[in-house]
Amino acid sequence: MEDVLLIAGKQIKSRFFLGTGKFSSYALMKKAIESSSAHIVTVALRRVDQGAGSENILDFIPRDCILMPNTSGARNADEAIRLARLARAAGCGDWVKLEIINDQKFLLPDNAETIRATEVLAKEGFIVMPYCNPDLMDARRLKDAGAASVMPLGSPIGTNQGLRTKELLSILIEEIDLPIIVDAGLGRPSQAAEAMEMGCDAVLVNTAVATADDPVLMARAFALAVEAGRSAWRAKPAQSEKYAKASSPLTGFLR
Amino acid sequence: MIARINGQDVELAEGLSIEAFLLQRKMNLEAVVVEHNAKILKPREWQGIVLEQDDILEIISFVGGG
Repeated sequence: MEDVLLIAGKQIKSRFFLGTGKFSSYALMKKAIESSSAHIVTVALRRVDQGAGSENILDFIPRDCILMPNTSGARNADEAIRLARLARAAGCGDWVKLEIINDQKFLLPDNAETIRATEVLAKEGFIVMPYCNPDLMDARRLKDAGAASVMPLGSPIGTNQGLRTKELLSILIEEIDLPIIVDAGLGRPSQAAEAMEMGCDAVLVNTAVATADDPVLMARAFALAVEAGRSAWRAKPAQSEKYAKASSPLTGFLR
Repeated sequence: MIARINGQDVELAEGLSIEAFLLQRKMNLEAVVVEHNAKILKPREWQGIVLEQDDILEIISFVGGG
């Protein structure tokens, strides 16, 4: 049986999505993308420093990747909508990772504003991938507003704390008929595997890869963990038990 | 003549088109998006618009982000 991730009708070749922030160079970022075979890659928009170097990040992202600009920096729906439109005007397609944050300490997303922006952008034909707190009612509202997936956090951005929201994520997986993609907080491949094993459809990682000592190797490690976790979920893990059960036959002939 | 560019007041020569400004600042024209007075421009519009007093220009490009 083929195991395909479909988002907005498009077949996504890898369940490992990679962010491009914090790499020490674009050349290194490119190698990390290649070593992970990520298909969806996020980028951000920023004001151009006048007189700054003219290296264009897009020249370092493989052509077959889907570029997903984020709206980081937006503090409310209106700012996010404006950023999404600018990103689309740059000619990089309709994908947008909607990210609305108005809390600088924990960088937690604002679900209410995110729902509002999702509604507007989905109507304009964007493929909206909203970063959100894992709340069931809000996830339903996001779906109704036209989101193409739901991207709840595992733990706050850049903290490497892993799946602190696990119980809430499992509710979304059970109840929301959209791809559930854990975005933010995954610090180790084992945590990515854990997310996939419990039934998440994909994960997005940036900091843990970009700030590893060897980002290229870490990108590969995450991609493998995602694949392993997905296979484990499909294989349906056996229940855990309190008491031991022998895995070899106890024939008893020594007694 | 002063225009507000990326949040800063910038003194400009009269009669400067947006494209001329971008070239003057050695911007990579392939890599930027320009918003002029809250309207997103297509690159082919850059040449025909002359910057005026109190214009607001945002010049944006992609960078790494998660």
